[in-house]
Amino acid sequence: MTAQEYKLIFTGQMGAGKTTAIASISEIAPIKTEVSNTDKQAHQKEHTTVAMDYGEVQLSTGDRLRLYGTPGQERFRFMWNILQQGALGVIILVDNSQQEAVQSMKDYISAFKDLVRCDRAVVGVGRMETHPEPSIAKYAQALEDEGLDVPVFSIDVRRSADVLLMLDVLMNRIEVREMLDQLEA
Amino acid sequence: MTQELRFKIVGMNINDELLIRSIVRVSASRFQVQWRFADEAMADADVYMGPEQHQSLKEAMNEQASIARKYCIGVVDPNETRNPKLTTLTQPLRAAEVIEALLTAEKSIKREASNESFETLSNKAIDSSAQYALELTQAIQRETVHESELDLLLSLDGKPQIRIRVTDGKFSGCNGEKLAADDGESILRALNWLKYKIDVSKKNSDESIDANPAEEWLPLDSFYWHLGVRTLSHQLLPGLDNGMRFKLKHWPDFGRNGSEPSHVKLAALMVRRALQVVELEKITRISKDAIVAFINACALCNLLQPVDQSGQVVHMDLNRLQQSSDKPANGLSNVFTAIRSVFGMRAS
Repeated sequence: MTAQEYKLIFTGQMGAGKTTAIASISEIAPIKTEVSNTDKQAHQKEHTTVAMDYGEVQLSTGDRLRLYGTPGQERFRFMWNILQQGALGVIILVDNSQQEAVQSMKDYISAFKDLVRCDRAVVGVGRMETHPEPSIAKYAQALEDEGLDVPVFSIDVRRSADVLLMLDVLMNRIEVREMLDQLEA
Repeated sequence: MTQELRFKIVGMNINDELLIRSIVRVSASRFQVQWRFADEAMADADVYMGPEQHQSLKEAMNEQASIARKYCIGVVDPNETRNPKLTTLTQPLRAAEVIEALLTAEKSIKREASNESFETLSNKAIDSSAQYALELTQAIQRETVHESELDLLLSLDGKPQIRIRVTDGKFSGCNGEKLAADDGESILRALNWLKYKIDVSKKNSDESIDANPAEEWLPLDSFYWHLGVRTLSHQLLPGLDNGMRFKLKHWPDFGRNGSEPSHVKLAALMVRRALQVVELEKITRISKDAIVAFINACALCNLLQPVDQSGQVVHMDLNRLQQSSDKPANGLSNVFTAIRSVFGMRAS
């Protein structure tokens, strides 16, 4: 049987931790396409991703899980559409220290709406220990206001356990959706 | 109203006594309390000042050892040895040192008074950890609803373990106990379950708080979460019953509080469908105890959504549920098994 490839996307605003999240679970040294950040107004970080980050995990079945990090800047939006085609799911990362963090989440939810509608999206909010507001409840409320059911967690992308939690939640959601769809068919 | 403390000078010559009285009088605005001088006729005082060898000061020092709400300030000559356990002034007296000593005294007495002012709300021996958790959460919630200006102190054998700030829904460990939101063990350890004795007291939150500045205040929801999932597994909380269907408003914050694989599976189901305990058991094969504990934790964290029993519920056929969970895994499930395996993730 031919080995399959599965795609997991990490997206979010510049500085949200996509590159770090991929590095924390990738088996290979992540391939980065970083250049000097010339948009210091958007984020103070020194380097930023311009094409995409890439990592991968070899599965015991011979299949491969490919991890893609989207460039954070809005001008690379066309790449988001290409990347999400056929993806297993999307992990949306938000930096709670940034202004308009809730709006940022909503923008990415909108950009990845096809995956969101299929229960294939999870939101991770970082830097909550130093910036507790907006709270997780406010993110959840913003999603509920739009009639969306997307899990939101406070996370630290430097901890692989937090990244794996989001992956586990994503898989559980897909499994539950399939099971309930079968029951109601 | 400004608190008044009584201050007694013993065994000192008249010049020094007058000097101290003058210093205190002209520096009144520097103190948070109003100092009133106790004369010889007054048997008791809050603060005693005088030579360490004077009989009255010795007696006061003995009392200070057993009654913390008493304070002694010793006065020594320059060639005398200072008692390291005592606040001490050296002759000749200097205004700055006298003021500093009294400020230390008032701070110490206020701290003790603050601990004494806790009114005991509940103090009873309980025969199980589950009952303990239930009593505790009910006591907290009663206060949260009725008297939001109060702080709660959870103590064991008179020793504060956890302080709960009801005003902004936070809790913190006492006695240097370091608690973490995602470490339920540390929270339970602080409560010392084995003794099953609950002692909840309350105080006005505008009183000075004797909190270690290094203590981290954590969200109360984390406290409730760990109480629920770790101790409330035997029966649903009052107001909930097995005939009800339970649905979640949104996902619990597993990132902050940590999670078990069973929690993720239950949440994934319960945000989609309102389900009974028995249905959840059939679908997930998770033990009833774990399901009950999860539902109780969600209830304590206000995550349960009221369900219109007559309208919105999709009634599940238990036989179909059983068949569904018995079905062989499809292609994606195999991939998920492989992903979980490579990362060492436990399936529920």
